[in-house]
Parts: sequence; C-alpha cells; structure tokens
Amino acid sequence: MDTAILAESLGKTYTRRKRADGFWAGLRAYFSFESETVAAVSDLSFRIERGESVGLIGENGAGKSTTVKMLTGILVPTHGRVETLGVVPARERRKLAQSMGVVFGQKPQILWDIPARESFRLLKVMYAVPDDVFRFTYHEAVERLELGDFLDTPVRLLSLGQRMRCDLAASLLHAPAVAFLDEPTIGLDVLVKERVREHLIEMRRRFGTTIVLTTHDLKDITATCERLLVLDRGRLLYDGSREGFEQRFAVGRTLVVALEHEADAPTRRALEAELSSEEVTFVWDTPHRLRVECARSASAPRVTASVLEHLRVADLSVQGAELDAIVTRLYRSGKAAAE
Amino acid sequence: MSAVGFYWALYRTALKSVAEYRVDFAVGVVTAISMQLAALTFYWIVFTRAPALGGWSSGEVLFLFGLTAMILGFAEATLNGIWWLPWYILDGQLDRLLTYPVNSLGFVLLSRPELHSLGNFCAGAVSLGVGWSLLSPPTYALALVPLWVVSGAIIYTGILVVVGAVTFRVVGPWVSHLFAVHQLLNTSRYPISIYPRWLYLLVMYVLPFGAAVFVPADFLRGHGSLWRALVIPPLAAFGTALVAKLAWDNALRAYQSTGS
Amino acid sequence: MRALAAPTFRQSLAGFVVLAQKTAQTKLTYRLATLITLLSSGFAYCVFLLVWREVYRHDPHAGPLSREQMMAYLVMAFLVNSALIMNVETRFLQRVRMGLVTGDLLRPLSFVFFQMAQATGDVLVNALFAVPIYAAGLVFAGSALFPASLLAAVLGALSLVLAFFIAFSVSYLLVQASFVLQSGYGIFFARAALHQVFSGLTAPLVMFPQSLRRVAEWLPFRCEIETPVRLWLGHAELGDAPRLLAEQAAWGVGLFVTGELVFRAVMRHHQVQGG
Repeated sequence: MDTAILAESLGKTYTRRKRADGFWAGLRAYFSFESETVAAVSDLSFRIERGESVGLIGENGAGKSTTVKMLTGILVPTHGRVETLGVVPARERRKLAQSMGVVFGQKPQILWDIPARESFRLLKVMYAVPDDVFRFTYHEAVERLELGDFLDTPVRLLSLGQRMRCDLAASLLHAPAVAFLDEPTIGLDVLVKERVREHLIEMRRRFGTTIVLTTHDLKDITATCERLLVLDRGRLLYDGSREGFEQRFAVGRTLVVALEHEADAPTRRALEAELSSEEVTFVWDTPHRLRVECARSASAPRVTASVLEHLRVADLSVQGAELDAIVTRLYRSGKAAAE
Repeated sequence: MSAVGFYWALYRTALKSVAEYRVDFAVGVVTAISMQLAALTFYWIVFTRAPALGGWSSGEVLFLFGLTAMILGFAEATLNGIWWLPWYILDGQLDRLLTYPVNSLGFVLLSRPELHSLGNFCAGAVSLGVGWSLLSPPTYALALVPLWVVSGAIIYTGILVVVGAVTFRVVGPWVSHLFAVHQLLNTSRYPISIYPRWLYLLVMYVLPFGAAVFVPADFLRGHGSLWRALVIPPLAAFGTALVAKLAWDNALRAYQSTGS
Repeated sequence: MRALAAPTFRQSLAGFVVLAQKTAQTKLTYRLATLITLLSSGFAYCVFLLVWREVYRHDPHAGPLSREQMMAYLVMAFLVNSALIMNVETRFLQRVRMGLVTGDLLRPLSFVFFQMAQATGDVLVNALFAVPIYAAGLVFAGSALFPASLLAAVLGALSLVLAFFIAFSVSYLLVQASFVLQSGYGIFFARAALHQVFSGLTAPLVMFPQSLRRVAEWLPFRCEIETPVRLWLGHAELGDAPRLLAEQAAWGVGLFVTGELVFRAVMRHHQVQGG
C-alpha cells in the first residue's frame, strides 16, 4: 500500500500578543508588544496508508484542527515533517489541493450570496472535474444528501445542516484521493447524519478515498473508521485499531437492570453472595432499578445470568463498552491527571 | 487557459452575488458620485482663487482627477476583495480558500467587487472627458486611457495587498491600514509640481501610483513623450504586482489561522 | 414589594461614565488602527495644505486671509476634525447588524444618553491623540497656532464643546433616519460628503466662491469646524463671538430636539408594528 499521509515529530507553536484589561493597563500595553508562545501540537508521528479511514479524536483544544491544518497545507509546521500524497503540503499547496477535499464544520463559504448550484458549477471549473466523475459525485450527492430542495437558495439563507450537506458534497465533487472532514455532522439530525455516513462509505468504496475524520460524535467514527488517532493536549495518546482502543481503555461495563418489582433483602444478599468472586459493585438505585458496575476482569455473561436467575427483570442493558463512554472517561481521567 | 476560465467564472459569480443587493447598489453609486462631487468643490474653491496650480491649468488638473477616479472605480469593480481579508481570516473562510487548487491572492481579489465602483468610474470618466476637451490632445491618445486605468488599478491594488498582508500577523476587524492606502489617492488628484521632493519620490517611485497618472498627464500636456506614457505605467504595474505577490506569499507562510 | 422607580440622576451619571470609559477602552484596544487612521488622514490632509501653499506662493494676496493665517487655520481645522470623529453611526450599524439594538433600547439609560456616552468616550481618545499633533504643529508653525488671546481661548474651547454637541446631534438624527429608511450606508456617506465641503475643513468660508458660501451659511456643518477654529485663532471679531456661539447653540439644540422627536416617533411606530 502507498502512504497517503506521513507525519514525523510534527509540532506547531503559536505566538500570541498579550492583551491587557482595564483602561490604564490598556494604555500602558499601548507601547509594549509582549508576546507568549503556546504549543498547540507537539511531537506527532504517524503514517496513514491510502484508502484508510482514520478517526481523529480529542477534546476541544487537543490540537485536532491544528493537525488537520498542517496536513492540508493551511499552516506551516514549526517542527518536524509532514507529507500528504507525497508532497509537503504548505510548499505545494495547490498541487495537493487538486487531489484533496476538505470540510470545515461551521466555517462559511466565501461566496455565500449565491445558490449552492452555482457554487458547484464554479467548483467543477476550478477542479476541472471530468463530466463522468461529476455526474456521479454531483448527482449522487444531491440524491443521497437530499440537496434538491434548496439548490437554488443563496447559501447564506440555508440552515446550518443544509449548508453542511452542501459543503460535504462540494468537498467530494472532484473525487479527491484524500478527504479531511472536520466535524462534518455537526448540527445535523440523526437521519441526515446517517445519510452523510452512507455517502462517505460509498465514496470510499467507489474511489478508494482516504478519509481523515475529526468529530465529537463518535458514532461517525464507529460507522466509518477502523482506525483511531487520539490526541490529548497536543500529544498522540493512542494510534491503532478501534477494537484495540476499546480493549485497552475500556475499564468496565455497567449492567443496568429494570426490575418488575422490588427485590427483598434476602434475594439481594443471595445475588451479591453468588457474585462475590467477580469484581462487581451493586448499586440499588431505586426500588425498581439496579446498576451492576463490572470491572474489566468481570465476566458480563456470568453476571447477567445470575441477575436473570435471582430477579424478575423487566429490562436489561449493558453500557460503557461503547466508544463514547470510553472516550468520555479517558478525557475525564486525563483532566484529573493534569490537575 | 483553464485557469483564466476559472477566474472569469469566479468573477462573474462574484458579480452576480453582489448584484443581489439592488438597493445597496443604487445607493452606493449615488454616494460615490456625491463624494467625488465633494472633492470637486475643492477644485472650484481653489480655482476661483488662482488661475492655475503649480503651472497646471484647470483642465489638466481635471484630467488628473478623472483618471484617478477611474482607476479607483476600476480597481473597486474588479480587484476589490483585499478589503475583506480581515473578515475572511476571522471567519475561517481563508482556511477553506487555502484548500482550493487556485491562487489564493487571485481568488481573494476577485471575490468581492464593490457596489459603488460604478459611481467612481463614471464620475471619473466625466471629469476626464471635460479635462480632455479643454486640453484637446491627439485623438489616438484616447486609446491609451484603458492602459492607464488598468495599470493604475494594478498598482493601487498591489499597494493594498502589500499593506494588507499585515493582516495575517495582526488580525482584527479593521481596515484602517488599507484605508491609509486609499487616502494616498488624494495625492494624484493634484499637480505633482506642488509637492516637496520627498513626496514626489514617494508617489513616483516608492508607491508608484503617480507613475500611472502623472506620466500620462505629462504626455497630454505636451511635456512628456508618447513613449514614456506607453511604457512606464505598465512597467510600474508589473513591478508592483511582483512585489505584492512576494509580500502575499511571505505573509501566508507566517499565517497562524484562527487557532480553532 | 418595591415600587418601580426611574433611575436616579446619580445612577444615570455613573452609567454615562462607565460607558464612556468602556468605549475609550475598546478604541484603545485597536490602538494601532486608530493611530494609522489618524496618520493617514493627516497625510491626505497635507495635500490640501500643499495646494494652498502653492496658491499663496503664486499670489500672496490670493484671499482675504494671509498665508500664515491660512496655514494656521488649516492645521487647526484638521485637529478639530480629528477630535470630533465619533463612531456613532458605524457603531449603531454594527449593532443593528448583530441584532443588539433591541437590547440597547431596554437599558435603564435613555438611548440618546447611551449614544452620547459612547461618543464622549470616542472624543476622549481622540483628544489623547490630538495633543501631540498640536504640540508638533507648534514646533513647525510656532505661535501661529496659539489662541489669539485668553478670551479667544475660552471662546474657542466653549465653541468646541458646542461643536461636539452639534456633530453628535447630526449623527443622532441620521441614526434615526437610518432607522426609518432601513439603510444607513448612503445617509452616512452623504453626510460625510456635505461635511467635507461645507464644514470649512479644507478652506474657511471666506475663501469660498460667493454662491457656495451662501449655501454653506445655511447649513450646520460650518459650526462644527470653522466656528471654533476662527474663535480660537481670533479670525473672527470679538463682537461677532456672541452671535457665532448663539448660532451654534441654536443648531445644536434644534438638531438634538429634532433627533429626539424622530426617535420617539420611530419608537411609537415600532410598538404599533410590534417589531
């Protein structure tokens, strides 16, 4: 396989001017130009092969956007080396752009007083998209993302969700070899999100597009990515398969049980005794609700079987094995460690 | 060839997008004309007090005024986008633009034609016409006016770009540094002979705006050769464009984006 | 339950001071922008100075004023003009665009008071910049920029305060007009054009051609620049001073009251429309 993206000890430091509050401080700051440096990303190394689909996750301020901007050539790195599709992005930005598609969630387009249809037409000229590719990318996008109803409305009058769908279609119009999608599902309702994910999967299948996806909705990643890059305060915390991540960071699951009627004390004691060999904690929330918190070593099937045997169960679910829960816990512990 | 096609398509689309605001367009044109008229009143005041200004007749000064206004109008109608750069950066639109396979400077410049430019251009054309009729230069020289206007517009825009490149380092929702360049236009409305040496050098060589206005004017007054009027303005335009391109590329390298 | 009470005078005054201070602060944040604007408009203004210098070089008796008087007048006119640059209109347009005006109307401070407090903040910062320019002017022009006498200085200062009041009232009235017409851009530029011609920014009215001068005398704009400068430099006869000041006061009050009346009409209209 070819390498699509290569990063070697990549870093980016920003310089910021110090600002002062208050009238007199403002007056004093008038004659000074103090500045401070902030490291947004440091020592990032990874390699993404062509055709891979990678989820880039991390909290706000973890350095996701900065990383994407360096990979796309918008920002020049302060340290290290980056290559996308075999070129140094900032140096050969236009050459790279021809084979690259980018979505920035929430960032408006420059020509937003014109209808989306005209934007698409302009982009077709800009990328010199061949008619047959355009036929596929454009018409399929219009259909799958349901753009037809508002193609002739000026972009500024569209809702965020509509604009986002147009943006996504626009960025994939030229069937790019690599697509960077920064929050492509932000502000979309569940059904439309599903459509967006379908579209991404279809693009990948058809054109072998390499995808780098940053998102806060981890379901996007579950649906479309098999590999994860997790950033934490500018550093790479994890790089590997999604399953590996789940195994490594999942600390346990919680069995949530809804009871038909309240369990009496002897029943409770019997259940707790039976599972005393497992690493579990019982939380009797309300008369009709029980949570069993299982550590990683505990066997979920055994716990479940015992619960079903001892109690009259109305409903039962296992939580905490999902990516969402793991990542949330990870952020929280990361924050705790930092403090 | 396809690049030219793209910029043409971009410009047409941008024009269509500003034409959405019809009332603003009409108001803008009237406003621009009234601002030009206000500036012309000063000529009126001055020429009731003096028959000529630094050896220039009123017709010659009107020509200066007209050519300057036409240059401004033409630049605003075509290469005006630099005025939007601060907002492009603050909104993150520039980030998106940098992911397009086109020249970012060209895109920015062509993306926002100004509504009131027509007013400036027309006011300029009328003044130039009146000045011309008072001077009665050879008719064939009329063919050179477009050359002077385009050269001047490129120089003016070039200076705006060089100064506007500062925006990449100091980001804020203000354009006063661009407005400063705009103020510079006031210098080419009056005879160059009344300026002190340093201002003369500044306007003719450092910010060679004067080259596109005074050199043609000299030719029309019979003081300079046709050759100079034909060569110097485009040459100055080429030089300024080159410097502007370097300044832009350099500033892009220092670009920090908006952080988020 | 506490009875509803209108804000006390002290409360209003405190609000005024805070707002003015806040505006000045914001303006200082964009210090570089303010400085560049000032320097560049000074540069552009130099051209007018050079034009008049040339006119007088050619003919020392080109007008009723001497060359020195003319130069002193122009420098002072520029100073007064820069000191009175207020962002009343632009700020208003900006707030309309951001949809914040409704909030401004709901403050316990009256709308006009609110606008005037901000304008005061602007002028304070302007003054901060004007002082060094005046000092630099003194180095070049020497005593020509001094007030003609102590009385002239007092009259000039008084006139300047009235000029601020007029300039503010014009802006305030235009803000109301933009409310009515739903568009500000054109109105504000038209004012700028009229101001440039008729305020005496580029020449005092005595230098105007007769017909232009007659028009200028019927407009308020000359009270913003020409009147204070003439009083300060002693170009106006002392006997004329009361009349000039009275004219200024009349224009100021008239425009202010008109603005306030239009504002009330606009508000009533708003309430009827339910907007």
